[in-house]
This record gives sequence, structure tokens and C-alpha cells, in this order.
Amino acid sequence: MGYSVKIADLEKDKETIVSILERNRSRTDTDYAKRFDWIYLNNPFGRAKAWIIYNDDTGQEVGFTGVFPRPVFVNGKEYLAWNCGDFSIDKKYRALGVALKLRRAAKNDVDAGRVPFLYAHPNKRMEVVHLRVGHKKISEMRRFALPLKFDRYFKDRLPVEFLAKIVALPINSSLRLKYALKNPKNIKGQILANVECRPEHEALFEAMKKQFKVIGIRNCSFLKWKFADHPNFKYQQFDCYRGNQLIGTLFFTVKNQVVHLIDVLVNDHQADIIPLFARFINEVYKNKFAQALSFILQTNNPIIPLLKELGFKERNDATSSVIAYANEETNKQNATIVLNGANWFMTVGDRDA
Amino acid sequence: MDMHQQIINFLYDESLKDEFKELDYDDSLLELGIIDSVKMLDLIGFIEERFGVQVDDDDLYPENFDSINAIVNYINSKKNN
Repeated sequence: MGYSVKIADLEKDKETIVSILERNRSRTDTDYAKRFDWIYLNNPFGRAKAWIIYNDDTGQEVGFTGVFPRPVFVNGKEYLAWNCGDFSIDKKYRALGVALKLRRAAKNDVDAGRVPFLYAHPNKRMEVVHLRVGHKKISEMRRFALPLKFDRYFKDRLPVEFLAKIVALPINSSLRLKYALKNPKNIKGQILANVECRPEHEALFEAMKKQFKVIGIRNCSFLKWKFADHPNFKYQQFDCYRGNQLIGTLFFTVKNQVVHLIDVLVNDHQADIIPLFARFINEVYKNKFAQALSFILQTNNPIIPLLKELGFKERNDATSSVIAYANEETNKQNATIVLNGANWFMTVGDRDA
Repeated sequence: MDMHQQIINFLYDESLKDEFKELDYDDSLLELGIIDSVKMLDLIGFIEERFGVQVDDDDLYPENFDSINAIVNYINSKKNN
């Protein structure tokens, strides 16, 4: 009985890694070979690192995990951290021991000082593994939703579609009016079919670095890679202006008439989140492409109270944990800040999916 | 009650009653979905408390936990040591 963890050679082991992903994941919208090139080889902040675990008796690979380099600013100072992902183990080897051995590989690099800290977004089953190796749970991710139209709601509950439309009409109209009234006259916005990053977007991120103690990079290299170059998903962008000044940008994708917000850039979150979202909601109404907005955020994210003010409601259907690890003995100063979820500005965009 | 049955009773999950109905002592608990990482942690606690053995991380491999027989053999070998 034995299992060995080896660092993957990303060129030679591509087929092995893609094969493990394909047999352990159920997503039908993802081409894992293309995704491998994107996330493992073409990350603008350096290649990913991966570890494969083998059954010593058979020589067969039984699982692997990866870490993706991500610059994270802690009190304005840049550190190249690791975003952990793709943890996959074949079903018949999920007796915890294999997972623990694999999970420790990245942690060992943090303890050795090769990387300052790591973070991850595991589900409940994987959270157990993180906690068992000594990582810390610092927060949770939650979904927040805002209904814009009630056609589908009534369609599911009434026998005739026409009747559903009639019942939904006054509610839809009053909602639309509510958001129209929240939209200040000097705020303008524009939906772009493709993601474009300009110096003014970089300036928004610079402003965010000053507002939040811990924040992952959102500069143009990152945004281009994350959204414009994504091999499997098509992202759009909404730019919002007060006069001629860009005050915020939203990145999103649309699926089944739901706008899935992925990330936000904002100049001053206290002053600009409500006008940014109110203007965006009006654009969504105008363009008639969605019935609802959905945004997954870390529960400590300071924009949540502002979204609730706009009518977003918390849902409990997309919960995951936020895990982080920094060595508290050798890296005490960073660890104190990074291991406190309240210090992070984190959205679903901080996962590299 | 024998050790096999005590372990089955502990692992029993109503949502998997079909799997339990025809469970053989050598069936793969991982393949059947009876054990996952969360259940493993509970099982470790159960084994340590009920049978008085210390379960080390280095022992948490399928060879020791993938079937009722494997679990019983593992507990007995720990007791004998």
C-alpha cells in the first residue's frame, strides 16, 4: 500500500491531467484541453504548478491538484500567492488519505517560504480535507440574487403562459420604475459585447487597492486573460460613467436569461456601487436579455449591504467555503491579515474556473 | 452485535437504502458513494471511540476503508498491535 505525489511536468502530463478532470467532473460546457492551456500555461503571472498522485502498486495516476499564481495586494503591497483549484481524485480513492497527501503538497511550499500564502474555494467535502491539513476557513461564498421580471415565476405556477404574463406585468412595471427612479441623471452606462480594458480600468483597480486590505489583482493583464481570453465562456462588460469619469465596471455572462455577475471594478464602493448597479439594471431592462441578476460574493464583502439596499436577496444554493493558509510562525505579519476573511475583497471572479 | 453490523449501522444513510439493502461485506463503499471525505471523518471518530484504536492519517487509504471487511480487518490489526 503506497501513494506517491509528483510535481507534474505541464507539457508531458497535460493528457493525464485533462483525463483526470474529464472523468471526475460533470460540466458539459467546458473543453478541458483548451482550459488547460489557458489556466496552466497562459496565466499572465506565470505557469501553474500541479501535483499528480500515483498508486505505487499499479503506477496508475489516481488524482491531481493545481495552484494558479495570482498577485494579491496586502495593505497595498504585492505578493504572488496561489489560488488552489482543480482538486480531483478518482472515486475509489476518496478515503481521505490520498486527498490529505495531495493537499499537503501545496501547503509544504508555503511552509518552505516558496509562496507567501494560498487561498481556495472548496465545497463541503473538500473543506474537510483543507481543515485536516491545517488550512483555515476564513469565510464563505454566498449567492445574491435580484429578480427583475416575474414572468418565469408565474409561468411555473400558473397553467396558462398568457395568464402568467398578465399577472407578472404590473409587478415587472413597478420594479422597472423603481430602478429607473434610482438612476441619477448624470450617470451613463454602456454594455460592451467583448471585454476591453483601458488605462481608466487600471485606475479603478488602483483606487480599489486603497480601499481594501486584501485584494487580488484586477489589472488589464488579468482581466484580458480572465475574461477576453477564456476558452469556454463568453463574457461581457458594462462600463458606467459619471459625466466623463468611469466610476465602475461589471463583468458578466448571461445564461438561461440570468445575468451572472463575475466581478466588479469600482472607484469608490460606498459612493458608486448603487449608481453603477442601478444603471446596469436599467440597461438590462432596456436590452431585455435577462429576468434576474445573480452574484456570488464572499460574505464579508463590503458591497453586500449596498446590494441588499438595491433589493438583492441572499440565497443558500451556491455556498462554498473560503480557505486560506499562511505560515503563522514564519510569516506572522501577513498571516494575521490574510487569515481574517473580513480583510478581503472577494468575488466569484477570484476563483479561476 | 458483531463489528461488521456495528459499522454498517453507523454508516447507514436512508438516502442510500437501496445500496445498503444488498451490501456485501466486500463491496466498495467509495464506489457506492457510502463513504466520502466528510463521512470518513465521522467514521474515524466512531472507530476511535467505539473500538479504542488510534486512526492515523497515514492509514486513511482505500485498502483499509473501502469495504466493511477492510474496515474490520484494519480495526483488528490495530487492536492486535
